[in-house]
Amino acid sequence: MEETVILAKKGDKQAFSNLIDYVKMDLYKIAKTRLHSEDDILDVVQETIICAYKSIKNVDKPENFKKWIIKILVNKCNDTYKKKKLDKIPLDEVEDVFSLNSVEFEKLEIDDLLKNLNDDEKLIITLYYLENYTSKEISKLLKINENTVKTRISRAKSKIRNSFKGGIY
Amino acid sequence: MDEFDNEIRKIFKKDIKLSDEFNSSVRKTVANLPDKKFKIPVFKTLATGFACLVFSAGIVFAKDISQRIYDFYGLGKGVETAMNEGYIAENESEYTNSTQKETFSNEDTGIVIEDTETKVKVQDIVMDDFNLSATIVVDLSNKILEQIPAKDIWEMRFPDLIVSDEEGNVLFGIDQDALKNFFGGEINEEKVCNSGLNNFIKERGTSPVQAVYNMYVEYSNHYPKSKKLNFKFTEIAISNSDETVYGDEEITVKGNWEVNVDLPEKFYNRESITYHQVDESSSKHKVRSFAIYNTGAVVELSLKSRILKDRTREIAELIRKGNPDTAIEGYMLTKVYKSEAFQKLSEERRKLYDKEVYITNSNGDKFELTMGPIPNGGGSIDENGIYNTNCAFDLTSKDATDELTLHVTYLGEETEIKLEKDSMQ
Repeated sequence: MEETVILAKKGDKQAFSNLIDYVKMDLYKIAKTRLHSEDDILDVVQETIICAYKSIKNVDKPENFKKWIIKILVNKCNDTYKKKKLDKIPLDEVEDVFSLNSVEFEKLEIDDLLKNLNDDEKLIITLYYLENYTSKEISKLLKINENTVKTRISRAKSKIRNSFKGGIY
Repeated sequence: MDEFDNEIRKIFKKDIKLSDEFNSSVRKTVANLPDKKFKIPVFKTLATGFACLVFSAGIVFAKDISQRIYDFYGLGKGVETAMNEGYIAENESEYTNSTQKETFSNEDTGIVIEDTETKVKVQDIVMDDFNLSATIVVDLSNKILEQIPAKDIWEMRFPDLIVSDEEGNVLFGIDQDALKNFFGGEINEEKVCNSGLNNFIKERGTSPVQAVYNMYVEYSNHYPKSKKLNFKFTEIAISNSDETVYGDEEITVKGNWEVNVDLPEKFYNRESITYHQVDESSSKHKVRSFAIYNTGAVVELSLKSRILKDRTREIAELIRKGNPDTAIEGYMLTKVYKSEAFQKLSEERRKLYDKEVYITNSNGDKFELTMGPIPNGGGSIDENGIYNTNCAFDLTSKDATDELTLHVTYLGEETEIKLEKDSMQ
């Protein structure tokens, strides 16, 4: 993949296309934590691709490409989020996913895990688990205090854990 | 990381089914991206603030620059040659202050100080069709230096700097909000030069801080023949570490600074010297254009390359169509990208961008590729197997002879292309 980044930096459009194929699923997952509408997700992913293509020369090291494009995506998502003044889904309207005791983890999907979290928690926990960001990296990306990040991760994990009524964990 | 974390992580890493609409949108977006040899609209950045310097003009030519040490990283020897020939405008004006209340803040320590009275001036300007270099000198007040001593200042940047001219052209501007502000709404892309930037502090550890901004146009752009420049910004971003990423600086000074500069006639009456390929039929490579400017020479080349059969996308599509199970699809795609065949293909494609190019004049002087004004090694290979690329050299008008030879080594073959000065100069 690093070779592909080097080629894309030199202007190879096919190489850039391959990079997008590689990251698009994660871009979608992250955008979904911030934006509720599929149209909004499509728009920000499109804008991210265009912005990344224009400025790919700014990627300092090829191995940093994914984190770099995620940074662009998160900023685009935040712009859309603020612009549309998206309302947070009230927690009492969130359907409880888990009804009874034991839960088979392997059958759960991301949406199941995130349903009881607010938008900030969704984004932070996704970056933490999906992309292995450290709390320091998340705090720099989102420009919030590192302790705040740690608190939100902890709270989100606690909410996920508590979602399993009498559950395994 | 306990077992709960591991289970959560597995769920996050699961592949999901992306809708046809999403996949189609991504494919179309990529397919419609322009070839990089053409003009591309200005980049967005994460920059936030602005600072303006108000500055009175008073440019004289530098009479003695022998004692100056210029590190034009990214612009090459050509700029130095030009400056040694007197092609530099040195401003000896006074400093100016921010026109609005100024604030220093350090996000890391939480310290905020008001009325910090930072003074700024602009000096040592070099400008031709491709290069615009200016030194922005920042005199930080003692209030700021107590918080961050000069010795700890690693980089200094002006995130929302707009450099414009008397015709309303934007010669440099990266921050989208600043550009929208400049144009009073929608950005007029036709009036914006796509500029790259190399910037650094001359003599780290000293105060006032001399922040050198080496700006250069990209792709097929040229700077206009401006007579006056306006430098405007409202933020100074300072980093105290070489690991700080642009946009993540925690130390800022916010205010409003604006500087107006009159440029010398030599800059706006500059002329380029153009050449043509002598015998196009004798070479499989073509020189689309060649011109020598005050600070360097630029050639637009078309090299006969190879067409590599890349079936990656085709294979990826077959995998997607044949596998409704996204987990298997994801697994197989990863195998394709990590396969020896794909690695080999990437390596072969990388080699298609390798080239060695230099120029000799009639006196036998040799001029090498330079880092700027246009990044070398760029360009793209089209579907006909033609590698279109631009290269810059440190050859200036001082060494321009009526005939030149372009030496190209590409795909193991050495070629000499004869160039002749155009008759109409």
